[in-house]
Amino acid sequence: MNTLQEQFTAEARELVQQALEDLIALEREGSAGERIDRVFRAFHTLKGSAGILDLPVMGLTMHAAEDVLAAIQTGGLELTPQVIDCALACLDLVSEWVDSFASHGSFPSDAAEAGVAVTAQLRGLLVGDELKPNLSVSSANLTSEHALPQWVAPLIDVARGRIGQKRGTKFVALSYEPRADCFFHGDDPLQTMRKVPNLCALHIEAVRPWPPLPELDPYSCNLRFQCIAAASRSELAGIFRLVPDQVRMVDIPASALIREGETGDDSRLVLVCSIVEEQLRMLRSATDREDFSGRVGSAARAAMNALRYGSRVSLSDEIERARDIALSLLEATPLLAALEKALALLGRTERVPSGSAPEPKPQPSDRAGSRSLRVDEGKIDALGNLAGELIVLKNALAYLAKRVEDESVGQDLSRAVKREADAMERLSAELHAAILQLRLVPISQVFRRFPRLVRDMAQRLDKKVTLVMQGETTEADKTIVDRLFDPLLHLVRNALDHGIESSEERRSAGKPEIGTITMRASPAGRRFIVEVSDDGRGIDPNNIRLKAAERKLLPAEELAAMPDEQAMDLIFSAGFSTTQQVSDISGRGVGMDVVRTSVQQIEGRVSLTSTVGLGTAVRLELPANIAMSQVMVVEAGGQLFGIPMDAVTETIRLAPDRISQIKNNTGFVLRDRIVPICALSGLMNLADAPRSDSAAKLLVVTEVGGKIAALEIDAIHDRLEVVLKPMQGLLSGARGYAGTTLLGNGRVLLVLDLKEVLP
Amino acid sequence: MTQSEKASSAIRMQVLIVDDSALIRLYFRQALEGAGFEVEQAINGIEAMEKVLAEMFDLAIVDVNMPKMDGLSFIRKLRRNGSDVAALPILMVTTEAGQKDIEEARAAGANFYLVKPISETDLVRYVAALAGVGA
Amino acid sequence: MSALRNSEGTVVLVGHCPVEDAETLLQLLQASAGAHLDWTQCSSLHTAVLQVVLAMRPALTGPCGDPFVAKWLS
Repeated sequence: MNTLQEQFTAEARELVQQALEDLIALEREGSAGERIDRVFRAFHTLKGSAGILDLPVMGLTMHAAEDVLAAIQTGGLELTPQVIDCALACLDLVSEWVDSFASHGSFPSDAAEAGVAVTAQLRGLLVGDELKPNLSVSSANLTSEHALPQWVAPLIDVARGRIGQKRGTKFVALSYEPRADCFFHGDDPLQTMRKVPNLCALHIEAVRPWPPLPELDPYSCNLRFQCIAAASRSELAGIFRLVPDQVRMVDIPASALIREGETGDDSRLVLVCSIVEEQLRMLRSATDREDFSGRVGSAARAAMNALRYGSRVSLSDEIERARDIALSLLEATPLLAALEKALALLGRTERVPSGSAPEPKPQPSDRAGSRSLRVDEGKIDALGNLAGELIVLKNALAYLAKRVEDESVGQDLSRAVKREADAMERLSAELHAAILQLRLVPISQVFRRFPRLVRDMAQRLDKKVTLVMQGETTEADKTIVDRLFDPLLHLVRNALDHGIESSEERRSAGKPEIGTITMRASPAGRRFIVEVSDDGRGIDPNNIRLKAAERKLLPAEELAAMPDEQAMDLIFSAGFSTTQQVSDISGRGVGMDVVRTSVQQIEGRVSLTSTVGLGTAVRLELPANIAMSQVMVVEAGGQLFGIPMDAVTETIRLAPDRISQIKNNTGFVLRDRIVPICALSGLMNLADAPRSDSAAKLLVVTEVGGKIAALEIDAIHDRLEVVLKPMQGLLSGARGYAGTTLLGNGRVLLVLDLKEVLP
Repeated sequence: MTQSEKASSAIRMQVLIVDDSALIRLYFRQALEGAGFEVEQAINGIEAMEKVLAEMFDLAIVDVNMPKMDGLSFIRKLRRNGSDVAALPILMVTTEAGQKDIEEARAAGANFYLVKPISETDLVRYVAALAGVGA
Repeated sequence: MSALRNSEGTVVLVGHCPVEDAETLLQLLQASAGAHLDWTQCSSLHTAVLQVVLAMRPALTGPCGDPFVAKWLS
């Protein structure tokens, strides 16, 4: 994808996401306020983008959605669930299209069908609404010249030369094919054509090939008349009212007449004229004197610039003189006169309609907008790694500073070095902190995906549920926030499936019919809390005890003796499930144990409290910042790998005479322990660099899970402090890797999981 | 511009694009930078106001519909400014071609008006003319 | 009658040429192969007359005296 396509994709995705959220919120809040405007703008912008990327199907569908939103804004259409469903379906379709565009560079093959269906649905909502005429989705309405009938195109070429660049005029293409016997009815088609106003192009041709001259019947009309006129259909219909069946008309969008690619002087002249004309109109539409000098000044400048562009320098100079006079007299007339004169000299005159323009609208309040940048996550990671390298460097420097102190190179120098080392320490700490800040994102990023999910799931389960979100501005590291989605999803599903009761149950229990699920986040020092709670039926600890006994998790007496809170915690045990029914929502096999494991993987804790009849609350406690890992970069088999520093004991250059053969393996003795040697290149199935047996081996001694081993490598590179990204996608099942990180030079480094790599 | 025009405009023309759609800004920027213009961007009228007061521009391209100070408000405010920034030529851009919108833009003080979709070639021609390239 | 032939054998259209002139013009043009038409002196043409000219494509002395025809038929 090129930049423009990437930009389109990124922007479209954001707009769709925001519009989805706003629509769900609108369902709750009603249609007043900023939200409805934002949704309108989303469709409007998407429509514009579709135009730029030449995606007419999307353009038309967005147009329909835009019209629906406009109707809602003006109160002509009520915002019912049906309308919302329709709008959501439209956004889903766009989402699908954008994904297809991102992967394949085009929309799916059924896009036109689907688009037509959704457009019809949307327009169907407007039936009875007069705001916009019904736009049939036929290609004749696409504002592309390719959609106009064949015979119009050559006419357009002629017309362009004659009409210049009139703005706002409507053009109609007309084809008149008189009946062969029209002369006998007293028709003179040529005479009728003379009546057409503002003719821009006319073409006369034979309908059928002329017969050989002896057979030519001069009184059988064999001519067809085609033209383009700057007139309305009704005007033309009037002229041809006696022969409506012999006439076809096609609207020509003004855009079809504005052509690209002309470089002739003529077209330049036309352009210059239209600019000068427009300045006259603009000057004449002034409503007050407040903007006098701005108006006069800019009109003059625009005209002067255009004249210079058209190589009419002397005319430009005259405009400049006229402007100066006008400004000093505080009177526009001198400039108006000069502009008119310039027009006349350019070969055209223009009758400017008199009359003032409408009152300007009242100004909206100017609030400073928030300024933010969209930044690639990888770039932040790379920046983070650089900051990490800086820390390592800073440590080395601190060490040197100490040495300088010890080796008495002179007090002054020693102090100077220490000062700089201290400054370096402060700077790198600040940089590090700043980078960690960059990685912080608000929890709303993951929360915002839920209102739609809750709505859909509640609908499917036929339950009435509302989702309340609090504390969305709480911030945490992006990786942590991203990894929260899955556990939260499961908790929400549970609450919907098993927690919230049906409407009847709730009513008979004296509860409000609509159940509430609350997602709340709050900061807690260097950690933060996320709680998912519901006001459903709650969990009975005795139920848990029973299930635990069934699954033989613990002996019965222990279970009986255990306090309720502890019993509740058994929910998180592996393979535990509180219901035999497997609903299609929760699915099979994803128990609370998975929630606990995934939370633990990000160094978090999860616990649960519940009261029968009142509801359940699940509490997650998580770190706000990710820990950075220290990694040693080594080279083996021609590739770079990262080894987690916490597994590394030391690095050794081992003389060959210390190596012994122990059974089938090579090894050596290190402080009374036998350490097996494995070539890392071999372990990673890479070709070995040729090495002479007499050369010393470079070894990294590691200790993992109590087992010690030495990895033979070719070279040691830097030590880095990095953000470790877990393996994703296709590679997530690959064994041997703890994750990846992005190096300062932009390349990806694979970090090894030694437990899996070592035999 | 022809190649020679591009080369001979020793002082590069500076254009400000004011549009809340990043896609449109990118599209215009690519077209104009490719033709030799220097391009700056603003996402709304407020930012645009700041920029034109801080730097010299030859032309501003303004989208009519933007949240937070729409295009027309920006133009009106600009035209009422006491300094000579008020005389900055403005090309307005919109998706609507209704007579009312055209008249409003004129009344506000826009110097010219184009209806989207605008081809790259047309954009460059009009910008070149309004900014005064060549001669 | 508004269609004549002059001394050099050129067919000349003069003044207003109504529908009946079409047949006459056809015969005049047919009579001389390689016929030449001078329509500078006609003031207006009926469609049928124009049709004959378009069908036979004689050599023309123009521009056509009918301003509408002159403007739109090049």
